[in-house]
Amino acid sequence: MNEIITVGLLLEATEKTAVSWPQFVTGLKTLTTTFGPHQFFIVGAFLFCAGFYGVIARRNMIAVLLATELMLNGVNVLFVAFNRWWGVKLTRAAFTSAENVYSPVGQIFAIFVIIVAAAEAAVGLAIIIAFYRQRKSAYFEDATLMKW
Amino acid sequence: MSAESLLIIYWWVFTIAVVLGAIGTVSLRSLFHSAMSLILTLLGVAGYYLLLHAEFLAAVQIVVYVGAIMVLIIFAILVARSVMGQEVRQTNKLVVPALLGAAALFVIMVYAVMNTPFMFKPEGLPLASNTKQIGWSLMATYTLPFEIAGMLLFIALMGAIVIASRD
Repeated sequence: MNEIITVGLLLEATEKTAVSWPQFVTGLKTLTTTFGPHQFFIVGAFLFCAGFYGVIARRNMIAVLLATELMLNGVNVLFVAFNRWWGVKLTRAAFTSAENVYSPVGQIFAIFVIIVAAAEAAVGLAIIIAFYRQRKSAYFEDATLMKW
Repeated sequence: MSAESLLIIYWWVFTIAVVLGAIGTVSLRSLFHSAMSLILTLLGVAGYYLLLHAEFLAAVQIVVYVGAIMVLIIFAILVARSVMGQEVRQTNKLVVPALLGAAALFVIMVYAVMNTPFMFKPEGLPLASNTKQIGWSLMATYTLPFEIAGMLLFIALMGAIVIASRD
């Protein structure tokens, strides 16, 4: 059995309650100079937060749709990053030998997310075009018909 | 130059593309420029997939996202051309709360990621090409979700045609 390698950046900090500033700086330095899962986690989180801001703050319906795509992509990056580092499972290949086999479940889930994103973009754009035809506007403050 | 430092350099290139594209997507006034920034982000994410040994997913990302979804969105932007007005304010009055909320979410996520002791087994990393594996999994293990996803896409496209067609 292989030993399990821990890749926590601030491992010694987990026993304490708070992270000191130099530890945080060291962690950031590790983050930007070694190739590991944390970088992709943080970029995924950034994409999700940027999309969140766009969904809340933009007026235009199509811009909100673009921001939604951004959020979905952040989640996809997380899926694939987890699958790259945690996608190995112990299986019996053809019932003869036990070995570590890489399973692409995360990537398959990312494919499903892309499918759902395509469906969402199609339906969303259809609704936006129908709304635009009706009201000659694509701004959210004009969509008040079903608003309390 | 070692392989790892090369990976780091590629990671930085793709990260700059992704971050600049994301910021441009949510902040540019012209909707067309916004869509172009989103395409930059999507290409950067495709580069990430290459770094993460997900070549099939990188191809899917470029073909489906950049080639289909973004073209669809740009068509819609061109159809509703007057929504591209650049003089009009493109944000509502929730800018500051949204910015604060997104920043707080990001800080919490980064803090959690940097404090969690993640564990993984180093052996058995993905092969150079796992397209065959993905095909097998989609067709053997995950047949039902695959068919349901196809059905969902079909129904969604039918619904889109019904909604968008003028009656």
